[in-house]
Amino acid sequence: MSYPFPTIIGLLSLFIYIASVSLQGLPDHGMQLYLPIGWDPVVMTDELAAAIRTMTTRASALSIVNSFHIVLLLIPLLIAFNFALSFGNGQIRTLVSYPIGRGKLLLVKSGLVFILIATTVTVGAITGLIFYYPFSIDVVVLGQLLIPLWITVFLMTTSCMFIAVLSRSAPITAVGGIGLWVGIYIMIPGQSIPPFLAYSLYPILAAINFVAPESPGPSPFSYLWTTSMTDVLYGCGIALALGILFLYFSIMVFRRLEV
Amino acid sequence: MEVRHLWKSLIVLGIVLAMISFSPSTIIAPSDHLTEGLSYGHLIQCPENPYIVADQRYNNSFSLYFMTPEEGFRLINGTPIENITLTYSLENITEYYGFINLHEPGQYFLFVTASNQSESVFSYIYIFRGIPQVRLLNTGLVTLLLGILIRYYPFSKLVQLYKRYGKGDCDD
Repeated sequence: MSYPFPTIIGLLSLFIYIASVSLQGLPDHGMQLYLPIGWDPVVMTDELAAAIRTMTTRASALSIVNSFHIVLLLIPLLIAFNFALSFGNGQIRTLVSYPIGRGKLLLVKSGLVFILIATTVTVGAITGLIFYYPFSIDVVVLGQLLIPLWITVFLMTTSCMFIAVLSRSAPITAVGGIGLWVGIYIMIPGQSIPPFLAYSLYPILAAINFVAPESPGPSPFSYLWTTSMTDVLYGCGIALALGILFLYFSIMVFRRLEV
Repeated sequence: MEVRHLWKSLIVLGIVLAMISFSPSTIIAPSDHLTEGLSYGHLIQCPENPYIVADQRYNNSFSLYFMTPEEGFRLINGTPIENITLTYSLENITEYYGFINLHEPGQYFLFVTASNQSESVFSYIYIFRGIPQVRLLNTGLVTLLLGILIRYYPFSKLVQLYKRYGKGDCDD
């Protein structure tokens, strides 16, 4: 039930690389001041203060958003080929014969995936910020982005675990998990998903839209609805509740499984 | 998880960090159309030795001033440029290519203005991060060396010695 170091450091290197490359080309709209002769000091002071704030929010958002796109693929694959595969090759049979309860076993497996992904993405994003934008680190902004990120990772982990436990097959978990999470994500820009659903399934998108609304991200997706703090909180709450539900049902199914 | 496999991971991490430090990147690349009396301000965050390319289109001169954001606020509030503490200035240039030394990394306010306020200047400025980025490279090299050290240094002997003598239950 352990992850070898290469996976942890490999993922960490990947996310540090992604965060750094994202921050190397930070777009500068909103950080420029247009100063005609006789400019209004009050208005321009506000604009400069806003520019300083924009640098913080945009750098923090960009260091996270690309890593999130990788996480969309990574979590289903990780769960498929670490957990679902172990049903087929007898590992689960061995693990279940230990004197640990089945519920605890599943909790630990889910917890390990969650901690692995959440920690490596967080450390990668913060390391990228420290190297490229060390004077634009604001704990509040980072908190507003990282906590929804963790909640999104939690929801993705538990839902993929649920698919794994139901199907007991690595290919179905991989295809199902990716189909579900990437599939819904792709439908968001076309506005075929109501914003409320998008924010409940992907609280990180609500957070990014709230913290750095003009942040274009590297992808052609732009998040088309304005978001308030209430949206973010509702999204986080619902995602957290859904995640816990998935975990509960996964444990229930796992307990009744014949291995 | 075996601690003795840690060295492989540290070497990989060190190489990745060193690779990132060599990738070129632009901090800002504005083209400012400084029509009569118009100036531009840009907020950037750069290391202490950025590389600057400054050029313009119609053969008139312009000036580039680097200052901290606090001085930038003073400039915006009306303090004339002569009374501002500038971190670096390139005055009345038509073109400039080179590294500049700002002594400290940080946030800087870049003020671009025409030398002759009645002229129209079309300026192009490119600010690049110097390669390699020293802090990133150093972190990568330290991690790499740590990995090599762990691979070749007999830490197991140290661990055995500690277990034998470090428990504090023998008279040394």
